[in-house]
Amino acid sequence: MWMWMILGLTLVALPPFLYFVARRSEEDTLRDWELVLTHKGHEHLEAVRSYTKTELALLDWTYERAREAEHLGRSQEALRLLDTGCRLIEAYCPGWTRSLAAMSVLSRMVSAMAIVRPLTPKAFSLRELAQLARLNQFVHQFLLTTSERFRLKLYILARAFGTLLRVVVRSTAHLKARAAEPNWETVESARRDVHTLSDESIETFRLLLTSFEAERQASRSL
Amino acid sequence: MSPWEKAIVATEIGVATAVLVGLLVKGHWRSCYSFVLYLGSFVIFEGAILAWPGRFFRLDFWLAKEAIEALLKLAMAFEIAVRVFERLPTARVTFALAFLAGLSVIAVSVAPTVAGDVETVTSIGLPRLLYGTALIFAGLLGVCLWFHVPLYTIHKAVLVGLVPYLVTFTVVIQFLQTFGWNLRREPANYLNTVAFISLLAFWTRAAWRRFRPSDVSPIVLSFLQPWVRTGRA
Repeated sequence: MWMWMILGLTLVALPPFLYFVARRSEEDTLRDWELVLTHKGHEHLEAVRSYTKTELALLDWTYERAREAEHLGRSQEALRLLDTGCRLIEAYCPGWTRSLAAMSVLSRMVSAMAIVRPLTPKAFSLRELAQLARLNQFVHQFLLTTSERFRLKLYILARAFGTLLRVVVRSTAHLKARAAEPNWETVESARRDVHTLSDESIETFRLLLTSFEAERQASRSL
Repeated sequence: MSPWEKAIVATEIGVATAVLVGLLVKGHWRSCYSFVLYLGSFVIFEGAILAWPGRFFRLDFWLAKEAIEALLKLAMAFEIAVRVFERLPTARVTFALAFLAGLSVIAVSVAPTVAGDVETVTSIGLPRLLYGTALIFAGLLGVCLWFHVPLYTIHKAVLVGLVPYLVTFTVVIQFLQTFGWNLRREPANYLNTVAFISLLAFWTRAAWRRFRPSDVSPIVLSFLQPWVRTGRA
């Protein structure tokens, strides 16, 4: 009887598993490895740095112009600029969430990850993100391997980008509804935190590339 | 042996030979030696049954053939794992542990039946051996997915084809054991024959597929698939 039960469970689980395997493109999988085995990884890191720098500079510029407009009493223009700034963050966050998920998959290829530092709550202005950083610090102590700690950090960073996005979407909705004066403090905090999150994410990507390079050198010397 | 059974065995031998020839002509045979051995042994054993049915169309010979083929299947899983995880120590250790666990489970579950008669081994021991082998192949696929390890065309065809076939074969034997070896033999035999010929047809397609040089960096290919030669497998 137990053999029939095992076979029944197998017959349920097998088709989706095989479908998933058959759907995977081996050529694309090979191409993913180019990122960690060739100079393409460093090129990609530089491209990400440059893209992030440009996006954040644009965000800072929009915020400063909005502040100036507010000081000069042009509230309508200030609101419009703040709305643009919030939209920039809205467009920026999902890209990082996707990249962090891809990094998590790539990190499984590395057996010995370089030492990972958890996020620090002090580095964040938004209360929600500081709490996530505290959670990262707490769980970090219970994990044994650097690879697990690395993946935890990626998970927390992805959650942090999601939280930041929710905060910004809420601020945009307030601005549109004109229900209250813009909460400059929240917007300023979100702007600062998007910088911190971007820096941490770039550092994490750099760590992944460094770890993989070290592993390749070690395997070559064996 | 009825003419219909002879026709089925002849078809299986013909398609298996087509796979073998495809592997040799296209050069894929270098990517998995044990797969070639498995197909070769299948053609020889089934050929013997077809040529001398009076001597070899017996349960004990069939069981010995299945035992040898099961060992070759385990060798295939081992060889594919050695090749794909050659430069990936973490994935290699993970699969080695899974492989040893699978072998232990097979040994523990099959050992009590080995002392029994041929029918006990066939009806109880063989499904456990087949199911254990299917789990090892599925485990290998799982480790490849988890560590994002690319699979070579033939390796993927072997793994993706053998897992459902071995599960089907296990279901067929379990079905015969539950409902009686004489009562429902015909439909069970047909199901198994259809599954096996489909598997061989799937492998024929993979074996005769033209080798397409990948546009991925040679550094990546030499790291992950060093046994693939330019222009050929």
